[in-house]
Amino acid sequence: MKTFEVDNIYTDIVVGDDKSTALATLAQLFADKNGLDQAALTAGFNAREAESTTGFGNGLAIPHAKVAGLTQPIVGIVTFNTEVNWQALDETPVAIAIVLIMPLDDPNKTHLRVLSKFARKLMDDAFIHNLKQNQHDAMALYTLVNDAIEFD
Amino acid sequence: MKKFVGITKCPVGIAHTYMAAEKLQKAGQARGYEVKIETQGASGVEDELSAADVADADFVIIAADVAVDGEERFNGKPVLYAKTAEAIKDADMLIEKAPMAGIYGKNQPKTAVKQEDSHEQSPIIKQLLNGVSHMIPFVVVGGLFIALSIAIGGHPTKAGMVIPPHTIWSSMNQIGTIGFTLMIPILAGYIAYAIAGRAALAPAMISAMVANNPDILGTKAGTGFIGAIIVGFAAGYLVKWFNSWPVPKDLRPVMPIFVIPLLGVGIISAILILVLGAPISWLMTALQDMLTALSQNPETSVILGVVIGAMVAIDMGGPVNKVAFLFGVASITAGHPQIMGAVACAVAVPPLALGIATFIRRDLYSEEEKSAGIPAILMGLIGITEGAIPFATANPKQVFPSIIAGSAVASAVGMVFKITDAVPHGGPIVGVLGATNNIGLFFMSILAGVIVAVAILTTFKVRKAQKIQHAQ
Repeated sequence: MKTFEVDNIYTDIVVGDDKSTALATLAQLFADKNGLDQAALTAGFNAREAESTTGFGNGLAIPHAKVAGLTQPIVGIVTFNTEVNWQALDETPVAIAIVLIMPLDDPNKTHLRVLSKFARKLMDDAFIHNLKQNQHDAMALYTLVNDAIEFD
Repeated sequence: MKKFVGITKCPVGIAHTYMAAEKLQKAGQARGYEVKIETQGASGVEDELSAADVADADFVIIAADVAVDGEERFNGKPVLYAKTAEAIKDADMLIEKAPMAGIYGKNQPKTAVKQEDSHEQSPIIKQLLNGVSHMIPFVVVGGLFIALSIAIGGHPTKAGMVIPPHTIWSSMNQIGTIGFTLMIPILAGYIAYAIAGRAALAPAMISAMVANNPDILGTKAGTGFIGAIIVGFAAGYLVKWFNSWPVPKDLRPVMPIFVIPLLGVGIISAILILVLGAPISWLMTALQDMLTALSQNPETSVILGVVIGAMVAIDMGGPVNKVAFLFGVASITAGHPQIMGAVACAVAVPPLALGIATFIRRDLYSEEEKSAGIPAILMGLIGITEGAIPFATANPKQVFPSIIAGSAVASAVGMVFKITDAVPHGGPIVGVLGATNNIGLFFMSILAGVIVAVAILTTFKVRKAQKIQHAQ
């Protein structure tokens, strides 16, 4: 299994505009696909949002959580059919969620460093523009992100 | 070239730390700044700011949702505090505001102890006060628990104030003792923390316990709070030096949790044991010989009183104090407890005088000192000299001369009145419990010392305040 796989990209998911429904749906998708505890993942996402919103503007959010039982991080992308009211920093509703799921205790600094590079990349306006352009096409999103960041 | 530096840190340390750092970097560069942002994330510290980075910077932006490590590096620089979200949302606004931000080290909430002595506090004073303000709650809890347990549950005996075991008072006394025991590492630890951050805590706290442990040192007494201060500064600057080593990036995360604590504790403890143990033993023996010589001749009894009183106040629980106290105890065993009487007068003076002084010119004291006033008075009544330690540490130049003089006067007057105390404990409480030969004269001796100490201290304080007024 790789950190970033095209199977972990879901496009045009239908969740409505409610943030907690959206987070629960994200948890269900990634738990089913990667054999994780769905309740723990939902709780993890919600806990992080409670600290402060992960909606960082321009219609993007970066929900993230740490869960037990993982050996390496999972990076996924979910785009929504209708925009979700994420209470983002700029109050723009969110169309694209970049999902990061980390092992609870990951001693591997390389994993963390790749994730931090990816987080930095999200501050690149051109990159964000390209993500939005391709938000209905999973393969295009995969290529776009893989070209920008070397995950494994 | 224009330059600013910053630190980012978020709760999980995966995403926002780096997003905020990236945003500040981009926005800064777009405005023509050279930018360096230290990230304190889940993978440890990256792009660590060196002293040179900070020195070159025009201002500092800390974008963090949790406390960052190493803020003290920014002493004297404008520091703007913000959340990571603010940096991500509007880094430009932060960069615009930051040059006008407050100067780090001036009116910082962290150093809440006000110091009237100087407009520009030297870093050493600030580091010392950081230790003191963290220590005060421990002194208050420890002192009051011990004081109450002795006052209510204690019985005067030849072995000291004895509290019957398995009573609530005995538990309270033990809990208070824990507070007093912790006071030493907390003082040392937070002095070191102010100098070199979190990595300095373990070396300072553990070494301070070593310095206060007679068994490990091979002496009859630990070094008390003065030892703790020395250890705090030694550990702080040692770790600061460790931090300046060029360490390969991959090793950096293990430095503060593994390498620095082990090296720090090892080096400082070894120095304490090898270098400090022998001189302390020698000092204690020498002081004891001096007291023995003075006590041989009844004509020198007033001098003996002065010396004993001064010794009690000089390190409040350290080796010098211990020699005086043990000399007093020996006089009980020998059947003429007059020296213990002098000690009993002296021990009450420092906390009583400092507590009372905060009520005489209340405007000259910081909030923290004012609230420590009443506990100090209570501790004084029960004969717990340690109640004076926070005051003495925060303001040694004014406090030590006052309390040394006060204690010396109290025990000299006690000698003149030929006060005896049959219990190895001091303060007004032993008089109330009937351990002294004349409670009225005993109280008068203490009062004499308190008046002297308060008068000297208040004079110092007023003069200092006037000097500052003139300067302004």
